[in-house]
Amino acid sequence: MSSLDATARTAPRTQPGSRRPRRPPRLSLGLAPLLALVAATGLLMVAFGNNAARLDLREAQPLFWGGLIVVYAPIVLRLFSVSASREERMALAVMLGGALYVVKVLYEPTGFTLHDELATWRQTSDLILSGQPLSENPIVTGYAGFPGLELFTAALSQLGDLRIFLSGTIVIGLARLTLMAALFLFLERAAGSSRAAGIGVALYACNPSFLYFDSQFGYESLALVIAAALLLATLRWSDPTGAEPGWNAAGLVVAMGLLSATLAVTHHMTSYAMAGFLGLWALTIAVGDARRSRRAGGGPSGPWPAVARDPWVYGPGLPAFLLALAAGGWFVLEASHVTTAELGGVFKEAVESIIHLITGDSGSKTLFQSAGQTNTMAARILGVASIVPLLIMIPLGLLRTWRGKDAPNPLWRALAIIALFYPLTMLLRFTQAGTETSQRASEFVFLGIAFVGGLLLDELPWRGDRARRLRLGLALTALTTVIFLGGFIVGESPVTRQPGSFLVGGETRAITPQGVAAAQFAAERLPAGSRVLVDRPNSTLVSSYGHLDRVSGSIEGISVSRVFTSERFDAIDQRVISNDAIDYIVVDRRLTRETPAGGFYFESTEPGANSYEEPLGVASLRKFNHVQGLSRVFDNGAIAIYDTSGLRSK
Amino acid sequence: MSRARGIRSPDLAAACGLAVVGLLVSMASLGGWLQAVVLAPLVLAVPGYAIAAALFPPWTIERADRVIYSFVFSIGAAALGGLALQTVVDPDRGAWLALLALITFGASAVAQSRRAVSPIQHAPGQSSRLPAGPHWAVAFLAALAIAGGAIAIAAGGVHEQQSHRRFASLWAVPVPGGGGTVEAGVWNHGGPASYTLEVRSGGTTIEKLRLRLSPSQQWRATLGPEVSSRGPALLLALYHDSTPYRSVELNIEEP
Repeated sequence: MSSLDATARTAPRTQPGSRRPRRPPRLSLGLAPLLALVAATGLLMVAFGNNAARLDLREAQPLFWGGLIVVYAPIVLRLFSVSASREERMALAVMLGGALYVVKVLYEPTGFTLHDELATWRQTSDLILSGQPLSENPIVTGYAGFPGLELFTAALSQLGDLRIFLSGTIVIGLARLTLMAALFLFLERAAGSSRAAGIGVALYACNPSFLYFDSQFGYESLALVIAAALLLATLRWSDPTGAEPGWNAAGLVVAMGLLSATLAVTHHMTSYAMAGFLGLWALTIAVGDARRSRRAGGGPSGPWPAVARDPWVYGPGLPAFLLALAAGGWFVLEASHVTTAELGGVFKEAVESIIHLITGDSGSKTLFQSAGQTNTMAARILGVASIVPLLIMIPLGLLRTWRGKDAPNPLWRALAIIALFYPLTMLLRFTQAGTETSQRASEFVFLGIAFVGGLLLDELPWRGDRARRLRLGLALTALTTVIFLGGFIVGESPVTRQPGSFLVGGETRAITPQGVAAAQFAAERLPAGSRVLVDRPNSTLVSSYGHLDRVSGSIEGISVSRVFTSERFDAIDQRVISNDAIDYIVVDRRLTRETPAGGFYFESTEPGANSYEEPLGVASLRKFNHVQGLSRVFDNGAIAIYDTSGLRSK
Repeated sequence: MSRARGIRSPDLAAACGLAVVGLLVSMASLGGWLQAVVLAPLVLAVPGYAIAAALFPPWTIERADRVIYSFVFSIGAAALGGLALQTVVDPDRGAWLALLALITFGASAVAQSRRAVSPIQHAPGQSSRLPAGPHWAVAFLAALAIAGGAIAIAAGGVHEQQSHRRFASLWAVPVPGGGGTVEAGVWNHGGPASYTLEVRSGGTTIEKLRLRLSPSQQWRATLGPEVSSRGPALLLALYHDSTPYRSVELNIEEP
């Protein structure tokens, strides 16, 4: 039983008649306040680095990377220390998560620019304007079925009279801080060591999605903290050693039910991954039980003797069932369409590319390279160097959790099995479509890595004099920092790690004031919900701030992006516009400057995606000026908007 | 007097008090930061705290767990409560306030009644005290101030980058049901600038306007059918320093 449980449960046994109680001890924060100042200095460096990047100055990268190291490394060094108190470690874990969240805020502190953030903005805005949380989302299909984040943010925006941007930033910031605290407690209780928990949290921050993707105003960022809270409740429910029969069972069951329902309406993937993990955990208990029964019929033993209780009821099986019920029910009642549309496509593409890779039908993707973006040699080395230690750690962790001291522990085994998925997610990165699946899986897989890593590194022989321990701590901090920086390199494209000048198809780098102005014009002057053809970066702007509905895919077997790529406007283009009921065409004239940094101009399935060798022809975009029936209703130099009503009426 | 009434629960009283203050502030429609500061906890923590108190009586979980559950159950209150609410009314400010306050009051009542029957309610406090001296607080506040400064610096960088992009937008749209009436405008996104706007229809210049716009200033005008319907197309051309700068062109449908 962990020290925390001990605190909670031994308290009631204090004799009421005992003499004056001892004064409670003071919190020992150790070096945490000092390290907060150091981390804040790192944030200043990142801010200056980003500002330099916006002006294409050379000092941008040294300041940015240096800032990340100043934020991460000193805190991790202290987490490795044997002298830090439990409170200090927890404070450091929360500080680390908070400081790294601010790094994301520093990327664009005045508004949302990420694709998913603008999709969430649209969903939240629609909810506030219409009161409907389940309206269709033209940017990310899935948001229409999972409105947990939008409802929470809308409540804050409406009650506090705050902009959606500010509300979203506060909500995700608090979610990040709470996630770090919950992860720390979970790892601490699982491993039985606050030091292992601190190291584990530092390793969790190395997951490729942690710095930006999991910090964005998106449903997954919020779902992670709900999942972490469910883990805490499950751990308490499944802890066989402490509770007397019937101890607050009703409270825990209701808590797990509430958390399951909240998670089910917030994010599909996190719900399914959590249900899977809890099921796996219950299975490891059941299998262990069965083996023990077969051998000698001995009673429960070891530090996890609870296996005598049924894991499917008094263990993780119950929350797994509750979550499966909530997620399954929500899927059937409300979210089946959007879930299959979003996840189905991602998984289908990933599986197909792996099959093609194995059969040799298509070439593989070079690691650290996609479309026109290539990492420097140093970045590639750092990326590979971040993967290797984890690949070594996983089998050692598996051995430790299966054969080592205190084994067998079913939770340990389940977490080690989760860590085993890491090499598989790395394999997925060898395919274009699999990269997204790998990226999405990392926040779940790293829970296992955080546990086995924390456990192994905590158990290293930290004996000897202070200088020796410091040397070991420094070496491990350097290694962990490499894993952290390399993870960021693996997960984030070179062009979007820092802000910068305009880049065609460069996601956030293609979000410019001209695009925002066009979206604002659309919001003020064009009918909301009008159907629009537009390139990918501007689609997020006109579909969010502009309240138009972006049209993508194909109609009658013709890709709608053809309207942009054909050199002359012909009958096929006319057919796409008429049959797909296109109201407006948004043309970014800058698309003809270069090939798209992200591999595509309009959507990942467009003909030529990821293989452009020349930029889009100027004639392809100029043609709209000479089409009879098209009205150019907006022009700010970079972007023009054409009204197709005259064309469609012909 | 029932046993539940006899138990003091300052935390639950504070939660309900915050909900009442929220109701009062919202009715007074104070607006601004005061409203945000008073009402934000009612969304972010108070309902969750009350739910956590109802599910976990005192001393059954650690303080850190309670903080975590307070936030996460608040998400649940807004998400699940909001989904239920929208089936009855559109969730506007009043509806949110009523929902979250009701959840807070209801959960607090359950918590209070559970404390009355819980066998471990009289447990002495085990929570730690704050560290001695003000140094730790000063350091944390300084760190927060520096982090805030970093955000301000980054925001300044964004504005500086945007200030380099000086441009203007020209637009014109037919007024729906306006019988040929057109609304047009120029929006200056850069520093102070002078433009000339030429309106042409049927091959002839109908109007030429000189515009002097300050930063972010918008100019708008309505062109009646007598202007727009002189030919099949209405052209608006914007000149900057006598050179063609922007243009829009509308096909005018015959009435």
